[in-house]
Amino acid sequence: MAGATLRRSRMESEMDAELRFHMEAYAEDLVRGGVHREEAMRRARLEFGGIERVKEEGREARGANLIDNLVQDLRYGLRMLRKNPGFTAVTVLTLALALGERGNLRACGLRVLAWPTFPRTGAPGSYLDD
Amino acid sequence: MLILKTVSLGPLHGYGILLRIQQISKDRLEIQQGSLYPALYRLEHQGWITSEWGESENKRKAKYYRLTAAGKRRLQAEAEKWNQMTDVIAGILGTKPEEV
Repeated sequence: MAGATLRRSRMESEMDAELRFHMEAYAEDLVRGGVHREEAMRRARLEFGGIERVKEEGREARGANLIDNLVQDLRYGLRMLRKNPGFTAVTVLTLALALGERGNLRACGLRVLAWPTFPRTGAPGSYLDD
Repeated sequence: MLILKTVSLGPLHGYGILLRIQQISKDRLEIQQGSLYPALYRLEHQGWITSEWGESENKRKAKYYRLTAAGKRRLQAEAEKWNQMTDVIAGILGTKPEEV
């Protein structure tokens, strides 16, 4: 999983470098055409519609790649869970607790000392009516 | 398809591709700079183009893209489809009332 994150951050910095080169080259052309340096940079930034959005779209375009990585991560995670049943049990209990499955836990013979508090939403017969 | 064609003429970096498209379209086509890179990344992910870092004319690091063999075939296929489509549309637009 660390490999995927490393790859992703390298992709990010490469995208950064690539976009910056383009913006500067564009600005330089403007300057060569007689535009003031500051105005040229402003226009270059404008043309790109915000570097962050370009990177976001770039990420989406590579989406398939990221999904592949995510699937790989999930598969790895599942394999690890299967290999460690004790860990899995703790995970399930923790999730059950977080979701408020009180009945379930009582059946398991556990007494919970403090319940996480949820904001009151008020609908009668709701989840919180206990 | 336009990017593939542009790159088929020789490896270019993103900005160069933009300029080349403008140039060969005789300034009739202008690509929104922001949509260029998502398109490049998509084409690269699909295997039609490949990239590598190189040095630009003014000695700065830039990423150059070039066509792959698969990309070349893809370009030919796309160009053919395009020509067929323009044929069909031209035929429709050229239809006279009495031919219907």
